[in-house]
Amino acid sequence: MSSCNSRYRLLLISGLLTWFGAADDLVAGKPLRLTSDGKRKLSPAYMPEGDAIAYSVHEVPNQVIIKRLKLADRSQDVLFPNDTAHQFDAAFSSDGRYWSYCRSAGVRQLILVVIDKRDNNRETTFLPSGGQRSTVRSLAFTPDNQRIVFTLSGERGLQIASLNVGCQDLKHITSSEGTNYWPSVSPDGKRIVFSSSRNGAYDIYVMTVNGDSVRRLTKSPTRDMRPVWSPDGTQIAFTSARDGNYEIYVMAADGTNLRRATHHSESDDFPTWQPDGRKILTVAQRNGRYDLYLIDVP
Amino acid sequence: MIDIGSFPTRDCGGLTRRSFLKIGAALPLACGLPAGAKSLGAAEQSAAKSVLLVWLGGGPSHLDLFDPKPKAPSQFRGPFATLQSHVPGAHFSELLPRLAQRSKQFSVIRTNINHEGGHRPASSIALTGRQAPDGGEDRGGKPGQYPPNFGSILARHRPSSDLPGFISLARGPIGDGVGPVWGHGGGTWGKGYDPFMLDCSRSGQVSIPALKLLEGLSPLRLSDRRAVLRQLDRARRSLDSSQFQDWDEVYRRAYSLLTASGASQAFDLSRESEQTRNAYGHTSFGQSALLGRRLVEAGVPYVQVNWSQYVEVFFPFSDYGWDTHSDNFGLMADWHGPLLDRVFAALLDDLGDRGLLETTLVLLMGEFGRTPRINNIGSRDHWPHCFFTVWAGAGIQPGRIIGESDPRGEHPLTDPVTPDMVGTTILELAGMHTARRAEMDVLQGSRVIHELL
Repeated sequence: MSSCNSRYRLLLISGLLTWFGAADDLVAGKPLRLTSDGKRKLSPAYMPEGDAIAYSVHEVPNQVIIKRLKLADRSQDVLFPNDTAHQFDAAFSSDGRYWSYCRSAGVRQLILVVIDKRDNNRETTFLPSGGQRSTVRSLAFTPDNQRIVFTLSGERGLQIASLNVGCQDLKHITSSEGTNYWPSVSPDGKRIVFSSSRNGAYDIYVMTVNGDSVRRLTKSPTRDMRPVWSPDGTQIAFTSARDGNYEIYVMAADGTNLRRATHHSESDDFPTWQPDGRKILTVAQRNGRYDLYLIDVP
Repeated sequence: MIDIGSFPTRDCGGLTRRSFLKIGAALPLACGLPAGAKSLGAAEQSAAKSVLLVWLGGGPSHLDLFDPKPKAPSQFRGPFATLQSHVPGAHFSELLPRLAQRSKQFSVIRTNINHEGGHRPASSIALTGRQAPDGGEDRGGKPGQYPPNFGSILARHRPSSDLPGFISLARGPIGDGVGPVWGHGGGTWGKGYDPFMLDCSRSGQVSIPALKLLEGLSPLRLSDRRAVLRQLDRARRSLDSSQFQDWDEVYRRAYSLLTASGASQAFDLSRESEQTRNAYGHTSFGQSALLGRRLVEAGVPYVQVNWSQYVEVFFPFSDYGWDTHSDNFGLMADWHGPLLDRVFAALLDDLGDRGLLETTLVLLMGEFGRTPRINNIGSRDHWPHCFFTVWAGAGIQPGRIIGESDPRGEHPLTDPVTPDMVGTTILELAGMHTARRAEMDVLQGSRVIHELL
């Protein structure tokens, strides 16, 4: 994305937050609640223009769907209204051309769906080949918008893999012991940060996009998961249970300068960077209800 | 809070919508027992006035919850760390921090077994204690051959004059994508001993699934006998005769329950404080557990709180059961582990705070565990050879870890605990001693799990 577009995005986001009348809250460092229905929510993601958030929500007892929250007026709509299956883990190419998510499909439990918005919403799918009930989860586009990196529960267990946007050219990136999950590609496209249980509980590791030079960034007795790069590539936000329940933490990209971002007896989870890098979007549970919140970067 | 068919009368904010039944204070009901059933009384002293079964249909992973194996090879142990509980030497999965803190309030059996590996027959066995003589769901059997559910037995032993004696909380008959669990109710005693079913939404709205056929019946028209009859006639035409007979019986009981007077006080979660409702969390499972506590408080002898209607997770129809053949570790971290930890901890706290744990037997279980060896897609499959149950409340000595599984969690090292032992213990603690069980010809020849007492 050009620097002009980046500047436009920053201005847009600042304007939208002011529109919310949330400036005081943000200055005071209080979390800003973006939704209020309290339904179980998962894996939020900013949409390409930064003016909306897509997230999975347990809308009715037998369906998890992806909804879109428009930041300008907080209106919401269903992103894939014609899809009656469960929908998880929305991801978008930064140029807005490709929309992707995981769809429940029966025998292959979750398949990967890619929709080309510039080609009459042409849909391509990837059915994991690891036998019955194999799945894909946790999608992330590479910055050049050419490939999707994801967790594949296939013949090698839970590993990180990638496909091109046509759902072809499968490449296995990890093949270690344990499970490898929640990949996030660095803004320069050179590295992937992810969680792995190769040495016991989930910790955070970084590697090249080809799976080489794996380096461990955290060493916690309990799980560290869902790491995500900041837009400028200098920091990583993640969820950790090291303090007894799910909280958001931030560290430098080399694993140093660890800071805790949330302090609450209920869970804070699914961190996602606001596109300008100034806030972190989370799913927080408060009073037994799950909603989207924006929090400060510590 | 009550929804007859599709007509909510009150939402969780206390607003009244279409309140078609004016319900007073406590009410006697006529629908506690099927016609012809004898009130056999409960003269025998029992520790448990009620049984509250929290049913985790689909098979929760024992290694990832109450029987972790951190020293097992990586292809067994999974990615979760362990937490030291308050019971010396006992560790639980890191997914259960609240329950680890409350470990002195309950006891865990780590050597349960089941005799079948398919969901429906294993569930039937777990809920009745016996295999079907004709083979059951997966071996060419027919419905109605299982012995009665533990809840049906207790409801018959201890008939309730007010509320039904056996209530199951779910969106519909529990089962899998193939069909319902045949052992969910009366079995050989007939459908009259099936549980009365209630559905509780995440907002705490309670409905009666069996009455969904009465779409379009307005509150005012419910008092119009001719309108009701017209609706029933429409429903009759939409069902074949045998279906209608079953539905008609359920409808009769439900209508009797709701029109008798104010039984729905027990169903009305808006009477709970916001703090209590928040503690359980605003999910269907959380609010169902709270409803279960209210029903116990109201004197229902046997309540089954179901995690979901279906065991499956990711099929397009499913509602997030425990059958985590794929993505077990993602699901356990995202959803199942935290939700179970919160809700069951809240339930124990709430029952304890109200003094109900002394008179309520609480049991947490599913039909089996999951394979200790991680499968070739990084997940876990069915495992009936060794799994857990959690026991608390009336008559239970808390803070015990009973039984030991092998270093990989594959098989019991100590005596296995069978489904009929589970049922025998439930009934014994609820006051149905050996003679009474013999008199009713149920669950004979097994033994109580003395280690719990």
